[in-house]
Amino acid sequence: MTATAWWGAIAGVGLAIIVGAYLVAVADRAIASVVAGEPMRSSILAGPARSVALGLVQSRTTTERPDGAAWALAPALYLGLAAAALAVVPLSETLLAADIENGLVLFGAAQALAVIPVFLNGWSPNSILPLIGAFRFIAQALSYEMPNLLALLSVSVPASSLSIHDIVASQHGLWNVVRLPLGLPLFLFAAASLAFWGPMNLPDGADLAGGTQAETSGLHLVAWRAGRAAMLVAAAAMGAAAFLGGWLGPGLPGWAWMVVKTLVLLVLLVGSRHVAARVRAERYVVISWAVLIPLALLNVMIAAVVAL
Amino acid sequence: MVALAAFSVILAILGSSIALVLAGRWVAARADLPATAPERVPFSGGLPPEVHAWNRFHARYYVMALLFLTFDMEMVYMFPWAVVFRSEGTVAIGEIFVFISILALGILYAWRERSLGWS
Amino acid sequence: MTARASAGWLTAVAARAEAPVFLARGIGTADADARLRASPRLRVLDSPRAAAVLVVAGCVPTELAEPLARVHDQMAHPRATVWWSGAGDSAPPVGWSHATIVGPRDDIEAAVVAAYRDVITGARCSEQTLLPDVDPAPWRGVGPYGHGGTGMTGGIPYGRPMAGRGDDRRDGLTLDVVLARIGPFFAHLPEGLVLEVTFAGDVVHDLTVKTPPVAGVDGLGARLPDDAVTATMAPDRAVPVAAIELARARQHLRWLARLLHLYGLDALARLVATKALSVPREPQELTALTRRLERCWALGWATRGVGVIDGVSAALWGGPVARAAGIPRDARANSPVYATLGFQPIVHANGDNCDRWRQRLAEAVQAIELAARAGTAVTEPGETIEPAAPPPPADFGDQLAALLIGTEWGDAVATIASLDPDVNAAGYLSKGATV
Repeated sequence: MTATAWWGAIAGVGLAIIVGAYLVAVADRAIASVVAGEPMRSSILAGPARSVALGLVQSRTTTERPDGAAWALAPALYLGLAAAALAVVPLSETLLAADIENGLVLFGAAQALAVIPVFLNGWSPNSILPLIGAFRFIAQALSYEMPNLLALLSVSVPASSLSIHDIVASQHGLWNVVRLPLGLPLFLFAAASLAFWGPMNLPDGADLAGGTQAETSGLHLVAWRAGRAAMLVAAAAMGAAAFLGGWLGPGLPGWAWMVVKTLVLLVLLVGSRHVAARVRAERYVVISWAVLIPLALLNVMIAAVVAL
Repeated sequence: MVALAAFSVILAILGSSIALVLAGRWVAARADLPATAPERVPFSGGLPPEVHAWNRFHARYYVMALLFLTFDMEMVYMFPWAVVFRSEGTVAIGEIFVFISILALGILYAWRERSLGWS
Repeated sequence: MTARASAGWLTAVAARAEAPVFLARGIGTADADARLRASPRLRVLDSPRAAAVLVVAGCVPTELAEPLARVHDQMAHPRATVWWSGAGDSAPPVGWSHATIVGPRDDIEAAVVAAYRDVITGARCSEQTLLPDVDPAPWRGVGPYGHGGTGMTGGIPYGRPMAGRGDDRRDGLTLDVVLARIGPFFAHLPEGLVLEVTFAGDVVHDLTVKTPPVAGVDGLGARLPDDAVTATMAPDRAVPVAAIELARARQHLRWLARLLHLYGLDALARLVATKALSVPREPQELTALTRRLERCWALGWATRGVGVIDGVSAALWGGPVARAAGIPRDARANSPVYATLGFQPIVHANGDNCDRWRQRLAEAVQAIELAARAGTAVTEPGETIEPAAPPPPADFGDQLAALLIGTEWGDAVATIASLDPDVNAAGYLSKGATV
């Protein structure tokens, strides 16, 4: 790997995160306008930039006895983990920021570590509503982690490899979304949960006055929102590679297919916020364990039988 | 060496993201005045809290958390299994099936005992 | 005092963002929430921290002046206040002279946007802290002279004690319980209500109503604009049925907008808030919305089986809460004029959160139908009028405690929101007459 390629990889992932997160914000506003039956305004495109500017202008609030270092780390680490997860997803057959043999494991690890910044963001301000949000997210994370990993694992079974490159290559002729029909829905459920987005927004819900972000303002809040958007981007990219055949497709160049498929999944994920109500914490846990994990195990079994 | 370079890319991305956010946070807050006492009171609708929020939190999902540990260990076995099962053939499928069934029985038992919910 | 001097181009861009608003609901402006929520130029937040504009709606009794000042101080800089005197007789108290004052008939949206732009661009100074800058209490260590203990251990760290242990009602584990006072400006509680909640984890371990919404606030009754109607619910004059029913539909839609926001459906909440501001005159205009919500399995899933109120309690709550539990009690059923309109009370069976929103949505559609059919029909003087949201039962606190102790906090908030013991709503009648 040359120095140019090394720097290019870092810049490329950074660019993808920034553009992707901005697209998430734009798509969110656009879908909200459609749902609310309003005309499309120019603020749909410019609105996210204005919100970022407000974050830069606004002061940062603090609480009486916060854990300052952990609080500062929370949004930074969350965003960093999203970027690290995105780095192992190939854009095309040859274009890949970090070519790791066991990319799937690294992706799963980055996602699993995301529990820590969310918990820290709620625990650090020493305030009751964010604290409840933090502990709620632990329950949520313990519940979505298994469906997430099992869904990822199921695509590595037909490929007999944990390399994302091989997993995409194994979908020649038949995409995993058809071969393993349970996989993509489970993966999207986990992706929305990981970014606590829309119906899965247990830690930052309105019943906790914003939950883990209830005590934050300014750039901290902007970084937190950007982190959630980046996490959606990373998950959508992985979903496109693992289930929708990645760069495979007729006509267009590989990277274009990858971008299109990622955008499709992003719109699905972002749109869920405007059509589905937030679920109850307890029911979320019970359904995850009693229904989704058995389904995920079944999905792995299907993968094994299909692959033989 | 290829793998090392790839890992260094990931570490650099993780590190630079964290550094950028922290630097931006520091720059943006440089001009902030120190917060006054009422500005620092945690929000719960207008009244000050009686006690610190940090406490020995009663996490009611601890049974589920224990169940999670079992399954997390299971994943450690399943990742290598996914790579080698083709060369091992049907025996590997049979083995993992038995393994998963036993774990799934555990879920069923926890569910029947209503130890997944908490309110 | 400006918190900082940012670059001009940056503040110019930031000034064009949606204004983040925290709404402090006083008494007397039932439509404050819907008015702000319907606007695409504003964003109503649940926490004051990231808000730039504090909107104070209606009368704030003296008891709530200090909590209001605290909420103001919790906002980030730059910050501004807009005092929206919905009842028309409320001027900001001493110390709030910096606030923009908006009358009940003025354009609140434009006032908030202007205040936001001015304070962001620096044309208006960010507001100073209102409460005295004094720490809650001196630090005390464990020993008799306040010595001993470091960090959070021992004594009274940094002026507040740590949480103490409490018995557990469920699984026998003795862990900490945290006493928290939620309200009076918590977005999803009725105006002025303070709940003293003891949390064991995220479960409500104990719950006391500190300030009942109406009676507990001294002098509040006299300041309600429509108190005569509120007290009797039987005005001694004839009232147009169409006005009553449109007011009812508006009240239900406002409530629904807040509920949808609570469940994270902000775009739908904006749609419903817009409809609440100008209630459609044709029931068909709500058909699409009804179908959409009825088909939203996630909303049904989130509300089904939560906050069940059965027979006796349901009768005490009255109104839509009782009808959602299958009690067909409705003052309109005994009214001659409603009989000529073919009125039949709508009921649902289960009495849970799900049936309560279905009940109110169905009643909103029914109210629009009745208004369309009523023409110029009027009620008889002295006739009891069914309120959209009746006042809470006398043993409000006990009822809430019985309902909510042992539930997870999210369910508790959703249940309180679904009951809607709305103190402003009781005065809907004479507002409706001006439609």
